[in-house]
Amino acid sequence: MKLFLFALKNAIRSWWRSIILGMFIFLIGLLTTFMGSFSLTIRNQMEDAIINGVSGHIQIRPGNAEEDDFAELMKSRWRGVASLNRKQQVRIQNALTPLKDSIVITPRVRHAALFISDKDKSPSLFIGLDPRDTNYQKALITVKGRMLQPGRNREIVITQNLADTLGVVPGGVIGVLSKTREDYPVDMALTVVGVVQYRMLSLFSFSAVYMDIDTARELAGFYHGEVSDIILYLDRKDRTDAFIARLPAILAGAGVRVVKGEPAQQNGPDAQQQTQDIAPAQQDNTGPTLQRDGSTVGVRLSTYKSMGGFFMGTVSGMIMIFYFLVVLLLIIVSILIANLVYMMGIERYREIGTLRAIGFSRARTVRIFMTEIFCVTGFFGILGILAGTALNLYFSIVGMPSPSPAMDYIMGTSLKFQMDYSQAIVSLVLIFGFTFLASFMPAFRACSLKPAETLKET
Amino acid sequence: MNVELKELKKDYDLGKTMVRALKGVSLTIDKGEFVTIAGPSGSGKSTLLNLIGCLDYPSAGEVWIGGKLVSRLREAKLNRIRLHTIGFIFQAFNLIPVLNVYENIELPLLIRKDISREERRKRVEYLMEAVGLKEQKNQKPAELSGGQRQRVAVARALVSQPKLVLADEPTANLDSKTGIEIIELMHRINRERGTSFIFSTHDPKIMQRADKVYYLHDGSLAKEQDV
Repeated sequence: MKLFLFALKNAIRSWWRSIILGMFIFLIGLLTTFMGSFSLTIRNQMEDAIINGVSGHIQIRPGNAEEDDFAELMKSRWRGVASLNRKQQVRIQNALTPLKDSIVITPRVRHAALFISDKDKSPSLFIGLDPRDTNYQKALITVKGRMLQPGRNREIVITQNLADTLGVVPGGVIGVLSKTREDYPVDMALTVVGVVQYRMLSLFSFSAVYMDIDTARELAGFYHGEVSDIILYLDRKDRTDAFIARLPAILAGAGVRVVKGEPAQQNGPDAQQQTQDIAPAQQDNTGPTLQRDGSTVGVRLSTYKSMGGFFMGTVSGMIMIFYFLVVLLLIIVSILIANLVYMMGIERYREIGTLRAIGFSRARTVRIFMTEIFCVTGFFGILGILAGTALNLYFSIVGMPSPSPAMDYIMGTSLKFQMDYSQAIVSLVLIFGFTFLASFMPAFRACSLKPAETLKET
Repeated sequence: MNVELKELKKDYDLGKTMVRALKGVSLTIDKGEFVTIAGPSGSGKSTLLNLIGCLDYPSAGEVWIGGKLVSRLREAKLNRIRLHTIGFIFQAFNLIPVLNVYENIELPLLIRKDISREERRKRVEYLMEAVGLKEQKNQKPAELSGGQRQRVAVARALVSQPKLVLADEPTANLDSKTGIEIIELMHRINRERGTSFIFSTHDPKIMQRADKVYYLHDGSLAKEQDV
């Protein structure tokens, strides 16, 4: 304790140096805490955008549907042929009904079509759903107009980049040219009721058209009430893994088999011809059994994690770049700390010599030095972490304005931070780790000089 | 505690030149002696004290302290010898500026696990009384005169109850009256406790107070004189 006080007194005596050292430590504390919350918020917002806008927490899709990562859906030529028939839907719904208090079940139709206006034309994915299910709206920012309303067919909500390409505004009517899975052309006039922008996903120029499920079925040729998939929204994101682990057993109870492994290549117009050639009872071990209507006996399950893998990977890459900059700063600060400690050692040769002469071992002398540095590190590090936490708290209330339009894509115009107090521990460990690495060698070198050498300096 | 030096040599490698600081010094100091190493600046006094004090290794020769060959011991064992057996007094006092008188004296005991807190307190208070600094207990070195600082240094050297105290020109930074007072203090402790004292000086007035004087010249022992 007395040796600790001795080190503390030394730190206070050299207050100017402690403050210089402390300023760097403070900066590290502030930055790591800030970055922790920033990246956590970005990640969570991206996940929420993926869940609400596209994937749900869990997707139940036909066993022969190819896509897992929904980045596949960005290919505008993609046309989902595989479907869940009515019988399967009923079985799935029945199996999940006992859990309906904690999950929302949303059947959807996904397909691609060519959208045409007087000005231009553009292919795009469209998603048909029940307008009463409003989860999709959480991923969207209304730029103009409104969202879909129940009971109103042939109305669409489109993303802003598509609206800009086609030159349409709410109230405008555009044409759509689609091909059913039997390859029959379908054309239709649709009224644009809303122009929206995706939260976070705008970064990837992800565009889509939302419409009611009946209109979508007409365009996709799902005349018998088929759907592309059923997505489940859980009450909590962190329950996803546990729930998907239980799901095969729940579905099996209703006679729905969950298949694994690579799906058979059954998408696209050729698939229909292929499916007609396969006997209903024919099965293989790697994929589901196909039926004449193109639907499958089995289903596949995916979570938002695998479906949003490409997008999350990209966001992780961006966050890594931010962290790389922070690490670069940490390295620079470490060099400065090493320099300061080295100077401290030179200035204190006499003290080191005296301590060694009266019997302090080298290890103990290094410990006194390091304690002094850790006192400064602890004080300023905690101060930095507190300042970072206060900043995060402020941004969690008022939101952090985007510094440039380019940043709007990942943080929106204003980013409300999510607080993660455990980040403080990570920051503290990081600070002490870096300080130890930066200061140990110079302190050890200073204390390794022969006592006679250091006493000569007097 | 007796000290015996046998053909002690110390060379300093300065790159292109080699400086021979000690050229084969042999001497014996008996238990409880009060001895001076005298000689002009650069004669090797400090080098000799550093070698006796286990602060450095000789280039050749042997150092025996209390019948134990210490010049070949490893660093950890030398630390223990310095902590338990030897006390140091420096010309520039070498007190720790952030610690007060009490804390400076107590410092060597803080790493002694064999001494209780109560024993530590008793020893420090006894020595503060002995060197006449009880009133200055809470003062920092910067608030003390040169003589008072050296008294603190003497007390710090003695707090471990060493058998041998080495003092490198302990009066060089003091006026002659204070210098003699410090030597008197050291001599009194020497008589009362039987602690051996070896100190270097080039002041004839101080030399007169010693039991024995060894003269060093250019790294060699010039003569030995009983006072």
